[in-house]
Amino acid sequence: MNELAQIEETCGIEINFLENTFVLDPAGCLFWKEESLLVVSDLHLEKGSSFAAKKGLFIPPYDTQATLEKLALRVLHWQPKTVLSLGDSFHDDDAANRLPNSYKQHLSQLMLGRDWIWVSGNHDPSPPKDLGGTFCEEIHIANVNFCHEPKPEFNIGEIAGHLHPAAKIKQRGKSVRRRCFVGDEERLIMPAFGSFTGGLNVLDEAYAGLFSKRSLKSWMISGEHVFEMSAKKLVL
Amino acid sequence: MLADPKLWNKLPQQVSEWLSIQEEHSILPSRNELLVETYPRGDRFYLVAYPFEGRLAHQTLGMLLTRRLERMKAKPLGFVANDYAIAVWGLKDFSKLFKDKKPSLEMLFDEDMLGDDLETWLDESFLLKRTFRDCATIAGLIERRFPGKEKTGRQMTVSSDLIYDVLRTHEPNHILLKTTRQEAAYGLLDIRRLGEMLSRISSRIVHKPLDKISPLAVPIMMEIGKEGIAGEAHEALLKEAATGLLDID
Repeated sequence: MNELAQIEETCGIEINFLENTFVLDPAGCLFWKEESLLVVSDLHLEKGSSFAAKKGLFIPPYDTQATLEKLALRVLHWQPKTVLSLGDSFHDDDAANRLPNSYKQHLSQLMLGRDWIWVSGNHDPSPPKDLGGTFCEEIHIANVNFCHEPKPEFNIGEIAGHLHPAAKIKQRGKSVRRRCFVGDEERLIMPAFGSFTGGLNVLDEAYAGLFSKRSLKSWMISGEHVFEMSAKKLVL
Repeated sequence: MLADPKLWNKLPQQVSEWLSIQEEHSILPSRNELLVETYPRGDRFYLVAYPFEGRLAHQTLGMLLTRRLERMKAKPLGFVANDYAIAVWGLKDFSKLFKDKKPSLEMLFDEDMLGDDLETWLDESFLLKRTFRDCATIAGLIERRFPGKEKTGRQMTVSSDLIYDVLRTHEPNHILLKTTRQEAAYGLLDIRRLGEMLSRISSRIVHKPLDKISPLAVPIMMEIGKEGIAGEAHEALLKEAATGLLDID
């Protein structure tokens, strides 16, 4: 295990979610110990090139590489049996085709020796071609349901992405905003893992009906640390 | 003129009164001295220096000072500059830091800060990101916010920071980055003047720890255009919010 990985291991937070042990990794991914499952959400691969392809806006196309490198480090660190990408893995339906060969090879190397599951998202409704891995709309593992968009009517044991949660606090007159995990006893929403993604404040209306206000918690990610923040500390 | 009370009668009465109160509460620096005051205010600690070198030089000095303070683990939160002074604030008690010589004021204002610190700070600074946003807008890379389209505009504003970071990592010689640096060197920095000032004041720094704000510091405290520092202080604040304890060591 390399030095970097060791430092980060001590800084992640272990939580109990429906009798399962999950580690909230400060890189923005989730590791399920019992299942040896690494979950990442909203990679938005090839988002940079998508602007060029669709709108003629030429934005630097290196976001995919940055995201893949970050993902590779986490895979190396956790050595998971399974990797689950929780939707919006590709920024648009054609993004997997635009993926340069070197990145494809990088991905297949990561997939070697482990299961890889692509969950579909609103940005990538159809399965990526020639990339390997299995594809599904949502997946049930043990007592947890994984899907891209959180469903308010679904009550127990859901882990989702889609919303790119970020939280803001105000301390000593200074506000600090960070990507975060957000959840209560029944549902957990993952931060976006992609390097070229924004965030949506967890107090935004888009989260209405998803959490019970009483037990809402957010885990803010800053550098190599994860900070557990109670709901009353959060500001819009 | 500031240091010589005999000339004050040429000034308006309010100003000479202001200066005499300053003399009473703190120090009036002589011509070749640099006065540095430190005091607590609210739940922060302030450092105010009076180099009288003009806004541009002060802005650069602010970047460099906060960079050094960050590296010396003093957890600075931000700074602001005007034409005659610069104020830096943070989570640690500056008076105590300088008393314990961690760092000493001489170390902090050493001339060598114009070397590496300048390069590194520049690359990470918000000032440069803002300059980059202007360059990127002119180049047509991103669109300005338009009335009725605020949301799109804001999203791209946020992205210009991301683009800046991505370019810096992967294409440090990109033409937009070059332009940004040139623009910044022209508009934000006054390096020559700053260098002269630093060599002039070396070993002539007067430190005055105070219990509260001094009269001379009032205008700078009211100044607009504060620059924030994204550093360890933010993590310290997050930790305080999470645990209720302020960890500043």
